[in-house]
Amino acid sequence: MLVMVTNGGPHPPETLALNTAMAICPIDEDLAKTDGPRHFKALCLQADIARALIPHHAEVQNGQRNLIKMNGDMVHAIELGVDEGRLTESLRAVQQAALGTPWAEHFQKPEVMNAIVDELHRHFRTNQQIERQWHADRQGA
Amino acid sequence: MAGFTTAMPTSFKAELPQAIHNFTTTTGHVFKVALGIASPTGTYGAATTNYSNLTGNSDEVPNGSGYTTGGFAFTAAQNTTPSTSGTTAFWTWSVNPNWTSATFATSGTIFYNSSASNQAVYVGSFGGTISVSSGTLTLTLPSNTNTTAILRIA
Repeated sequence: MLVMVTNGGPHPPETLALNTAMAICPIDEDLAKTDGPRHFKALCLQADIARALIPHHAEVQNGQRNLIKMNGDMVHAIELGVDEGRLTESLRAVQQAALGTPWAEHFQKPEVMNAIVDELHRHFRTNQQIERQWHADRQGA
Repeated sequence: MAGFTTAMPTSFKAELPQAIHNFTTTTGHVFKVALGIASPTGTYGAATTNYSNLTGNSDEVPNGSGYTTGGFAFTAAQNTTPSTSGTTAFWTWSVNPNWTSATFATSGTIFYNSSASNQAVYVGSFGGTISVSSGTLTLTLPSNTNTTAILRIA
C-alpha cells in the first residue's frame, strides 16, 4: 500500500498524478535486478503517465473548489465522482503516454481499460474528498 | 516483535463463511481504517482479530491533530461489491482513506468492520514510520484486480 504525505496542505496535482501513475503502472521491485533496460522504460512510462494526468487532477481539484465555493457545506450532499468525459479523456491520456512502449498493447485491452478507469475514478474521488475535508476543517467541523 | 505485519487476519477468513461481513456496495456494512502509532507495544498481523486489539494496547494514534479515534470511515456506498477473475475473488473500496489538517506519526493500519463488532479485515504495515505535519496523509489502496486488490481470496 502506498502512503502519500503532503505537509502544510492538500496534495498538489503533481503528487496526486504521480500517485495515480504508480497505482496504474506498478513496477516490480525486482525488475531492476533482472532487466535493467526494461526497468528504465517502466520508470519512464510511469513518469509520462504522471505528467499526462497532472492537468486532469488539477481540473478535478479546481472543479471541487469551485463546487465548494458555490455550495458551501451543502457540498457534502453531492455525490463524489467525475463525469464520463473526464474518465474517457484521462484514460486516453494514459494510453497516449504508453504509445511506443512495450506496454502499448496492454493498455488497449478492454479489461485493462476498465481497471484503469476504476482506478482513475477512485483517485479523482479521493482528490475531491480531500478538498471537502479541508473545507470542513477550515469551518471548524 | 511489536509492530505491524501486512496480513489478512485469520479470524476474518473464518468469519467469511459465517456471513459476518457484507461488502456489498450501498447495502453492505460500514468499514473503518484505524492508524497505529509509530512505536506500538502490541503485535499486529494475521493473529489480529479486532480493532480493540489496537485500542487495548493504547496503540492507536491519539484523538486530535487531524485524527479522530476510530479512524477514517468508508460509507457503505464506497464498498465495492466483490468480483472474481479465474479462481480469485477480490474487492476494495472506491476512495482512498485520507486524513487532513493532520499532524501525527504512524506505522501501520487496521481495517475493520464497524457494523460487525469491529472485527478486523486487514492489517497493513507501512514499512516504517510515516509522519505528516499540518498536511494530508492518504493511503493509496492497490488497484482492484485479482492479483493486486487489498482483499483477495484465491
